[in-house]
Amino acid sequence: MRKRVFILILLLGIAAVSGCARVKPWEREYLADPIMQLDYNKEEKAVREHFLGTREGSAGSFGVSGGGCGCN
Amino acid sequence: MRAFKVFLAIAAAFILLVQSRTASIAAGLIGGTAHDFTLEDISGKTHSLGDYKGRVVFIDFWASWCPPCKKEFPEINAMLKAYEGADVVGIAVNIDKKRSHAEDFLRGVGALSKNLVVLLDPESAAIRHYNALTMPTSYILDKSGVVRFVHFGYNESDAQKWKQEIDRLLKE
Amino acid sequence: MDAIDLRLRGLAFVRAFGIVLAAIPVMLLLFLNKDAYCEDSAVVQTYVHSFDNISVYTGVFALNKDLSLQTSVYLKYAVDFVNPDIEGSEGGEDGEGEEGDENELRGDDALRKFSYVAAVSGASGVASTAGGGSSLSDTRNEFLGGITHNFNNIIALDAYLDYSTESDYKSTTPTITLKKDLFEKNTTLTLGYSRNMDTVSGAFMDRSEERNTDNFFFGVTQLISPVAVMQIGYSLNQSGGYMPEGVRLVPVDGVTADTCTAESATCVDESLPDKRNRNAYLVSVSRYFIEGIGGFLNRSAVKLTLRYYDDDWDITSYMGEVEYYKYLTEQAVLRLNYRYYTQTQAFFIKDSYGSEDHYKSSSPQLEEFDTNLAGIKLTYFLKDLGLPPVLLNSIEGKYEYYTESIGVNAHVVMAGLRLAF
Repeated sequence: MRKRVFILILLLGIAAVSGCARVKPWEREYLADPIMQLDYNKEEKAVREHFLGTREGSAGSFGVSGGGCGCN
Repeated sequence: MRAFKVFLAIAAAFILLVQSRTASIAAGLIGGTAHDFTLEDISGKTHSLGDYKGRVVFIDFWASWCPPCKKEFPEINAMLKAYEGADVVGIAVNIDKKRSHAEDFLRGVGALSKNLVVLLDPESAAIRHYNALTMPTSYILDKSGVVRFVHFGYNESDAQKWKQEIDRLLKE
Repeated sequence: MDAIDLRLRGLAFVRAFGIVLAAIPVMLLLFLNKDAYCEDSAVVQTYVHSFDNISVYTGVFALNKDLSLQTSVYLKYAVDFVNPDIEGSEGGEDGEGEEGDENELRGDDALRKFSYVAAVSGASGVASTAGGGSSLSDTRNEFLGGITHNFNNIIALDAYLDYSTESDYKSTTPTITLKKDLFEKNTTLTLGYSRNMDTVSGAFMDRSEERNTDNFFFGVTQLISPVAVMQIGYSLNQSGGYMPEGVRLVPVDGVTADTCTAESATCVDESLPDKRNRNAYLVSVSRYFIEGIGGFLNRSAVKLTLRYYDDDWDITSYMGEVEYYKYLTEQAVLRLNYRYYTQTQAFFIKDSYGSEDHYKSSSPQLEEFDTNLAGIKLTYFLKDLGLPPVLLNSIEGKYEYYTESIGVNAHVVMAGLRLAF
């Protein structure tokens, strides 16, 4: 049941964002800021996921990485 | 295995999903008169696009936060150095909100071509009229101020194309 | 912690740091680019994960190099030195654990050390030991190489190969990722596949065993506004093969963990299902703030991440994380982060096992527990410091505190620098 609720939230999220107004190429200065990058420090992220992966039972399922800010 | 089949199907869709409005947008711009704008350069001097009628104009919209722009800028500078003395001018419109970010980048570029004018547009007022699909986007105008060529983004082969296009317009 | 112990820890740290530092000139010679405008970078980082009676020292060296505007290569070397407390001192939180983990925390030193060694070492996130009960130090080496290519701005392909090795574990993982931008780069789709090919040869195993995992992932990154971006992801992992780690014994038929120092009729290998299917769903939102709340939000960003996970061993987990980034000055960035994680136990987990039980485990990872992680990080961006063409781009340091409801705590300290050339 919880899983279905989560999937529903995901689908609603996708539907919501796909209807968003487009962000123009020249409007992406803040999105390009290092503090907004999803994988700015991928080495730190890898070490942390390795550490947590040895502690927690859901190791190896950290979801997706990457994806850009669309700023170039 | 089911997961593999789903994966391969999505991968195929990814590759086939060619979504390009680039050509039609460029076609809509080419042949029209470039929108005039008036902006200040780093020293505070005002420049209007109209001031450069009678010369082939290379307009580039760039920002220090845009990685390909930073790769493209030195190429533009080098290309314009080769046209010093000719009827060619480059107008590099910077859209950084903070001028210090543009200045920091320009310090690393070194000496700018005499044919290159860097204008500051922190409000992105000019680029809105140019239908830029990505950063950077550049436009080459003929001597009468008509847009003749558009380049969305920057590729390594672009510098060669710019030269060919400028040479063609200089001969007209 | 006595003087010898301190010295050993210091040596391990120096080794980790020394190896990555030595790699810099080699890499630079190989990859130095004469183009002053290239954004090539190298990263050097060291970490200490300090548990109650074991520490892991990590060194990371990574290099990103653009071969052209469309192609870049990425190389990474990471080394972990696992350095247990040689005196075998008492585990810090003994006795506070819940029923299910008493075997781990109250067992004899050898068993307890095994569980601690599993702290952060282990290829593909699995436990490791050097074998004998007296020498539990271990070294893990990881090599990663990859290439990214953008095909005419239509699709980008990442191909990576990761190889890691330690005394009782080897893992090879090729990964392929496709990325596609849509709607004037307002939307990025990511599709990936990787396969972990692991060889396990733990201290309690007679021979090495294989385990393979197919990982599929799909993600959407969507710009929501000029200051907000959202990411949605799903991943599916299908594992098959030998699932235990070969470093833990399970006491059966009323025997206590204290007597389990070697494999016997009453202290047996873990026995786990030979298949596992896992699903993870992720939502993440990042929001930039230009100003707000009396300066607190000036030039800052807040990132929220939620993850739901379930698998066919009946483990369900929830993870929530919040990160706050703030420019303290033009060059200094502060990060505060907090992460909460909770999971249910696997369907076969019991307080005690009988020899007739088909599945047996003494792994705390499969029990019900929750964890908290909180940290602070400072990054300082430098301008024009260094000898051109190599510039020191930034230095950074962080401290994090990690705690588990089953009685394990850790301090995490990191120092790093980024070079641009």
